[in-house]
This record gives sequence, structure tokens and C-alpha cells, in this order.
Amino acid sequence: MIGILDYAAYVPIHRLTRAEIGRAWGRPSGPPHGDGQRAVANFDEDSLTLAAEASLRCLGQPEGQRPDGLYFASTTAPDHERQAATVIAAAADLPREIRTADFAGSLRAGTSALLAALDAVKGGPAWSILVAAADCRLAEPGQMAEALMGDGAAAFLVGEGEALATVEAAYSIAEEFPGTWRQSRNLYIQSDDEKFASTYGYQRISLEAMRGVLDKAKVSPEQVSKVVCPAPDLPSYTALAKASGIPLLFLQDPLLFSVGFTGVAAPLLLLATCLEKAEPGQLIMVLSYGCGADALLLSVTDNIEAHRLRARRSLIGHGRPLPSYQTYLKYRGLVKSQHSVWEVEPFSSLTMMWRERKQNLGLYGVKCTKCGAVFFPARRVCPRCETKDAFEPHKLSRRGRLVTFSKDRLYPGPEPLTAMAVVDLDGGGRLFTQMADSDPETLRVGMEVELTLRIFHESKGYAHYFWKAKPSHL
Amino acid sequence: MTIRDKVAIIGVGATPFGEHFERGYPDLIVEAAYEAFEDANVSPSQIQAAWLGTCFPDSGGYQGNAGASLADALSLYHVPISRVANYCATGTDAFRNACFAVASGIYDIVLVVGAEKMRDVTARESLVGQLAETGHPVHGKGVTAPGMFALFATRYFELFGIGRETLAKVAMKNHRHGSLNPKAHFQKEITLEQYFKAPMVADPLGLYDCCPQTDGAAAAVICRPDLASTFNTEPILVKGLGLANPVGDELAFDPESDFISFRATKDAARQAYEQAGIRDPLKEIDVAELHDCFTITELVTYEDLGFCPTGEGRQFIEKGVSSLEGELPVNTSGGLKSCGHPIGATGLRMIGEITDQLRGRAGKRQVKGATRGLVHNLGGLGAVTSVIVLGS
Repeated sequence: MIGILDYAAYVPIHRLTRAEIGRAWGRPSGPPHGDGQRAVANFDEDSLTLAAEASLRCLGQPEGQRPDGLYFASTTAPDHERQAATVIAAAADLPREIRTADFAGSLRAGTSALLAALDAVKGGPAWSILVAAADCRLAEPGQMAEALMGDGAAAFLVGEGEALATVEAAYSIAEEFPGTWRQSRNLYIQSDDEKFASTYGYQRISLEAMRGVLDKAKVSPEQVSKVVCPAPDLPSYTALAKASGIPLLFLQDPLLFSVGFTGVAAPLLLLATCLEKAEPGQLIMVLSYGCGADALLLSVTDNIEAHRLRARRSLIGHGRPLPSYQTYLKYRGLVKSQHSVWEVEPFSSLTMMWRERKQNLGLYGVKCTKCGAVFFPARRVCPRCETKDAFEPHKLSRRGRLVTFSKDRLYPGPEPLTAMAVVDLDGGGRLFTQMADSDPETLRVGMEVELTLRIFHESKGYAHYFWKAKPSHL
Repeated sequence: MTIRDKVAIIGVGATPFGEHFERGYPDLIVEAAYEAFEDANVSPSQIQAAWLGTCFPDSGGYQGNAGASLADALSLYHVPISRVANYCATGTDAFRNACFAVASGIYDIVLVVGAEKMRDVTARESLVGQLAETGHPVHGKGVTAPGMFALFATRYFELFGIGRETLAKVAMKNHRHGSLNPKAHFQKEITLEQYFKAPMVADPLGLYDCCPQTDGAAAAVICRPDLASTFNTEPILVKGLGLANPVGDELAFDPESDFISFRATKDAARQAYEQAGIRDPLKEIDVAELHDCFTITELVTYEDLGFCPTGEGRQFIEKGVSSLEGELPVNTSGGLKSCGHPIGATGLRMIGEITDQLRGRAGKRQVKGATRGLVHNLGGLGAVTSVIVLGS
């Protein structure tokens, strides 16, 4: 059976209330746009790391599933020329002989990647493909869209196997429509006539795709249990629901008040939350709008129940309030030190990072075949038994415990405090690294942590990704 | 073979330690070296070889990169000069190499200078910048020196149930000693209230747990013991020289590190004690200069040097054993805490302080009847440690 084998989501921990954004810009709070909160990626996160976290959660650990392809979808890939899918595949320790691709250019790139992955499985070149979608879109500070968008990611493993859901029909429309756009040289999304964009763009095209997929599958609206439908804002969402003539199907929470509109990630993130409560036999429609639309009709299988019995973490998490709008600006790099007082340019060697790619991204230590000692980073001569070149690669666990830590206020960075941690990894190996997302007050010797991929620094115009530790309960 | 009694210190010198905005790197070298020449009663022309200890050539990366910097400063072009860098143990390691040159019989009289000009850049650019911008691009990235040593404080506190009030005692003692040292960067006592009111730097270490960024140079003239009396009536003899680097740079990645002791100190002390014939350091050492880059380092080092059992550093400081009036006064100079830490200079400053103590000319800081002293100089996060025993 070809279909969805597994899924996961990742929403960064910080939440910024729209009331705080309104306060910063002198706007009244309350409806339609002043309620709720949005998710904000940390200063060391980008679309790549969000997608990596969702991917690792989807694949599981320590020796999780091994897809033979990885597609990344985003309108905010950190690089135009450096494939994010390859970096994520390396972090997930996937073999080199896989298919990778980045999908971009439209808010429906996530579903387009999903459809392409299903086609690749059906067509035979792959058994399974991981699709990871993430976005960290920026609107110009002060624009309403800034408050309405949110950062997030979702990952879906599709392939041949015990699928939780199968795709019964898909219907796509490609239509050049000027709704929101962003030129390569620009940082912020743009829009023009918002009423036109909502009614003639979002609503009209979404409805057309919806009808199209129902006709194609010869299914009536009454047979569908839920419509998963991302929306840029609540008025557009409710207008579409009403115009559809079947507003009851639109009860799947679009997460606009808890997370915000997560762009390319939205259709997959919402589908993931929908699958959490889906029952065997249900039909789920997924709408995905952008430069046209994709509509998918999914059928939930009996496998969903066995899947649900497995211990899983909360898809969205509770979040932690971001103290201020200024912190959001800082995290997204929208305010910088003009005189670079706290900016540093760490040593960087691309040859070195290439040479150590398996160790640093794939997270490998070495294990002495003579005495069994495990070390990270790799070495040639064992410091325990002094044997030369008796090491074999040792895949490190991403879970461990804090041996000790410090809270450094001197290290130059965007945060006033950098927590450093020494972590004993389950199954051997010790890592000395920074903490991520941690509340410094809660750090304790012996606490459980897990490793997450983050940006360590950017020098030579190149982001250096590596593993930070964060408390396991986050 | 042992180094014991094969090398004599006949002269020491040091600049005042502080922020010498009006003096350059060569000025510091000239002042320290000429004070040592005068103390030794030798002229520069009698020097046969020299060693220069500078760890980070801070001033734009050019002065202190090679022995040539010492030759240029002193116009000492007629002798071979090596530059030594070994983290914060640079000064003692330059001294150690010079000792081997004399003990081998190749040279009779040798100059050792340690110098570090840290304040030609801002304090942040000096060492914080070094750590942030150099080193592996991602491994261990994010630390500063206080951030690294705070790892020890956190773990030590956890295991032995102590808190910052114990570290405060180390800081207050060393500030009190420093108030008696006219060459110290800080010459003032601090109160417990000041200690706790000061800002945190890398929790659990606060401002008064950390040594400052300081300029300075220190020098020693050493020679064959049989020639020493022709220059100086009170030569001090090298009794033991230990140096160890048992974990290298990987301490924080080493699964065996316990973060409550430095193996490098234990190993270096074992070597030096064996050479010097010391069995009970608490009884046999009269005065010691320890590497208190941070207060936690001094506390841990009491234990690593065998001055007290593991986990009893708190009682050692609280009972006043290490204060000027105690059984084993530690850091009579005020230590790195008060003197500051111009990296390459520190080890030689310590050797100078112990030499002065053994000669009975340490003024208000004099430990009565001191005949045997110890120098402990630690580099990196315990990547390397020197332990030197000197005797009169």
C-alpha cells in the first residue's frame, strides 16, 4: 500500500502575542487581527533546522526509518544555492545514494513535494521519501502579516508499506495570480490589493481545487470528514468555509491563533494535527493554495490505530511566551549592531567542515574495537588502551544527561546568556556544546537532554550547522 | 636523572602588572629583563641564550610570534632565542625549557622572559575574542574562559554541597594579599558584600571570581649552580619541574573527566614532588603561588596538589590555612586575582614571587623562614599544567 507511513511536526518554542506586536506598533488589540499568538523561531533556527527537527522526529531514533529520498519545501530556504535537503539528509544520517530536492517558489511547495514524492514511489525509483516542509517568512516590520504568520515545520514519510492514509485523488491548478510574492533580492513578502487577493485568489482558486478533487474522485462533500485548509488570516478562512457551502467540514483548527500561518509548512502541519484524531475509513481533504492550488483526498486506513498507540510527543507543544517584540526583531536578525560590538567572525574552514561532515552532521563518534571506549570527536590513537587505528565509527545517540553546565554572559551573541553543557550521551560519548531553548534557571546536573540541529554561526557567508542540547521535555 | 639542584635562579624582575596604555610590548620586556639583569648582577652581553614566553600575540598578531620579538626589544641579537607558547602555562614552560638548556651543560647563563600585551585591544577582544573567533568552528563553540571554568564550579558545588560563599573566601584572601603587593593590578581588599553585589560573568562565577585582562612582563636569569655565587649570594635552586598534559584540549569531551579535579595538576605535581623529594606537601612546602585564574581553580588545586584531601578545599580556605598567616600561605602576591594575568608573564611572575619569598625580601607579604616554595601554572581547561618546586 502506497501512502503516508509516518509524520511529525515541529513548532519552535517561542510564542509572541499579537497584543505585544500591536503594542509595539500602537495598534488596538482584539479582533480581527489582534488576538492570539504566533510561533517564532529562535535566533539559531531557520527553515532548514525547523525541517531537520521535524524530519528527525518523523524518522525516530536511534536507528529510525531510512527513506531513499528527501524533499525539502520552503519559500525561505536559507540558501538559494546550497541544497537544504542535502544538509537535512546528512543530519538524519541518510546514505549518499538517495534522491534529494528542494521545492520552492510557492506556498503550495509542500504539497507539490508530497505529490512528487508519491509519484516517485509509484513510479518505482524510490521505496520511501521523506518530505519536510518549513517556513520562516518575514513581513516588513509593522505590517499586519508580520503578526499573522508563524514559523513551523512538518515532515511526512511517504512510501510503500503499512500506510496510515492513502491518497485517493489529487487535483492541481497552476495559475499565475499576484497574491503575495517576494523577489529574490528582498527580505520581506509583498502584497497589493488584499481584498482581491483573498476573494479572487485564495477563495476562488481553493474552491475550484476543492470541487476538482471531489469530481475527480467521484466523491460528494458529505463523504468527506474534514477539510484541512491553511489560511493567511481568519476572515479569509471563514469566507472560504462559507463559500464552500459545507462550512462544517472546515472545523479542523487552522492554528491561526496558536501558531500563525506557517506558509509552505501549513498544509502538512495541519494535516498532521488532523491525523492525530483521524479514524479508520475517514476521508480527509487537504487544500494547499499558492500560484494555483493543490487539493488532495486522503483515506485513513486501519493502521492509524496501531500508529496512535506508539508513544509520541505533542505535535505543537505548549510554547513559551517571548518577552517582547524587540526579541522577535533580534531573533530574526532585523536589528543588528551597527558597529559589530557583539558580532564575532569565528574561524571557519570549508575544507575542514567537509572533511568532518559525517562526524559533525551525521553525529558520529568513534569506538575502540580493543577497549570499547567511545569518543567524540574522532581520534586515531585510543587514549585508554593506546591502540592505533583500532577505532570504528560509532553512531551517537541524540539523548543524554547533563554532566555539568555554565551560564556564560561574556560570550558574544544575540542572547545575554549562552548556556554551555557537557552531555553524556546514551550508549557512550560525551559532547560539549551549547544549550538551545533552555530556561537557564531550570538547568540541573543530571537532567535529561536531547540534541537538536541549530545554526552555530555564520562566517565566510556560510551557516555552520551543529548540534545543541535542549531539555528533553521541550 | 633529575633536574634537582642543577639550575640556579640568580635574578628575577617584573613590570608592575596593570593596564599599561603608555607602554608597548617591547617596553614591558625591557623593564622586566633589565630588572632581572640588575638583580642577577649580569650584563646582557653575558647572556648566552634566551627563551620568550608569549601565548597569544595579541597586538595585531605580530609581536611575540617568535624569539625575534625578544631580540628586537633588548637588541639581544647575539644569542639564540626560542619562543614558547603553552596556553596559560607558557611562562613556566619557557622557564622549564631554559632550565634544561642549562642543566644539559650547553649554556651557562640564560635569560627567560614572559610577556603579554593584552590591553592594546579591548578586554573583550583580548581573550574572549580569542576563544570566540578561534578554535574548531563548531566543537565546544560558545565558551569563554570563565564559561569553561564555571563547568567545574557547577559540578564541584553539586558534589560537595558548597556555594559561592566559599569562592568568596578565596577572592577576599587574594585581594587582601594583593593589597600588600605594589606591583599588583588591584591593590585593594574586597568585602563579602562587594563580592555578592558584583555582576555575574559565567554563573556560578561572578566578577570577583575572575582575574582581569592585564599587561605585564616578568623575567628570570638562570645559571649553572656552581657559577651562581659569582653573581648573586642568594641563588635559589630548582628542586623539581613537572609538566603534564594528560587530557589535552579534550577535557570537556572526555567521558572520564569528573569536573572536580585537574589530572594535569596531579600528574605535574607527582613529577615535581618526586624530583624534589616531597612526600607531604602541606608540611614540606612553605609558600605557594597557585594559578587562580578563577577562584574555583584555586579551590580545586588545593586538593590536586595534595594540600588537602578531595572535597576538603572548603575547610582548607575557611580555616585560613592558605592565608598569609596560615600554615601554607597561597598566593602571597595576590595571585592572578589581584595581579592580573598577562598570560606569558604569569608563570615567571610566580617564580619571581617565590624567589623573593625564599630570599626573605617579600616585604609585608613575607612568609617567615620560607625555604621551599611551589609554583603551579595551569593552561587551557587543564590541558597543561606546570608545577615547579624551588628551594633556597
